[in-house]
Amino acid sequence: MQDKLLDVLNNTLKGVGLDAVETLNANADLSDDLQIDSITFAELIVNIDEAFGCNINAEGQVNTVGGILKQLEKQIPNNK
Amino acid sequence: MPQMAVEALSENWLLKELGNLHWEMICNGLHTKSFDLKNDTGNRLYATFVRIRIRCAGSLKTFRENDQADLHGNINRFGNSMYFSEMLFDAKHTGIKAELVTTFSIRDAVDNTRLAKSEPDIAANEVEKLPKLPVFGNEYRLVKKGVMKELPYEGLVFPVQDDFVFETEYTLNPYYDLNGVNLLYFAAYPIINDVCEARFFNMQKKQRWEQSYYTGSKDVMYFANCNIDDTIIYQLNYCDFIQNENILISSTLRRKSDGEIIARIFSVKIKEF
Repeated sequence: MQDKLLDVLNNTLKGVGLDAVETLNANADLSDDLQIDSITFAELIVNIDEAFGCNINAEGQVNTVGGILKQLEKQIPNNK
Repeated sequence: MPQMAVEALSENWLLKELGNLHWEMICNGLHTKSFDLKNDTGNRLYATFVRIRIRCAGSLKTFRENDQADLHGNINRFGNSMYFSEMLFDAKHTGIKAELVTTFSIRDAVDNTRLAKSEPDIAANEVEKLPKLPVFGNEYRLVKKGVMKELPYEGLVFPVQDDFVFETEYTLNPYYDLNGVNLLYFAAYPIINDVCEARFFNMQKKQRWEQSYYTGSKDVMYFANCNIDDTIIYQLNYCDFIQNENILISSTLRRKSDGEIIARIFSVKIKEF
């Protein structure tokens, strides 16, 4: 699951000319640390929801990588 | 008369009307009233304008006192936080096409430079979803990131650059430039731009710029807000003549406190004299 999330994140970042990240840092803030603007933020959430068949913001907006991982663990059976 | 300014349709009035309709369409789609729009933790949400582009059939001067006009539009969303609208301000003899995109923010009570992204906590959303990010949104982030150096629009190309040929400061007028929650009002950005732009062009020509050249198109990309005690720095990055002696202009607004860009503005001014 983490590898897949990393792929989704990096594909989104590359689409706007940002450098890919090598590993996921659970404490990383999507805006402050990954320099993601509001539009890219929206696209990332859409991309994650589509890739995993989930609703990442089901319990409120997530702003960190850790928040995304936590929601994926909750919503994805067997953490696939 | 309130809808007019300098013998033309008031751009300030127009932007407010466009913003109102955009927000109304969002609230209708979410079945909520504006003041009831909150996030999951009960914080009131504010519309944050990302980009607005208007394109006149001629210029704002083609509108006349007592013209009858109709404003209508449609709205779509990308995800739950980004809303894209297209509108037409339609008078029989002329019109204006407008495109807007907004997100939602919650305010820091003290610092307007720290607006946090958020999205509404709603049970049902009837605004139709877009399958992918529109070009209108993608261009914004590419310009913001500095990846896009030339912005194309209807056969024209606006340079996106930080070099400037003219710079001036603008002192905020809190009674006019700020909204009810002390944020720099979205409609104030292009007016501040035009006030400062006029300073440059009035140095060049004998005729008043404001009464000679009128907005044909204007594209405002909003990057940040500012605090009431800040000063705005206007930079004229590029200007050049295009067909019929009209003028293409790229400009930037920055916060003086930290030099951060708060907007990039791309205009075509039409010669009307």
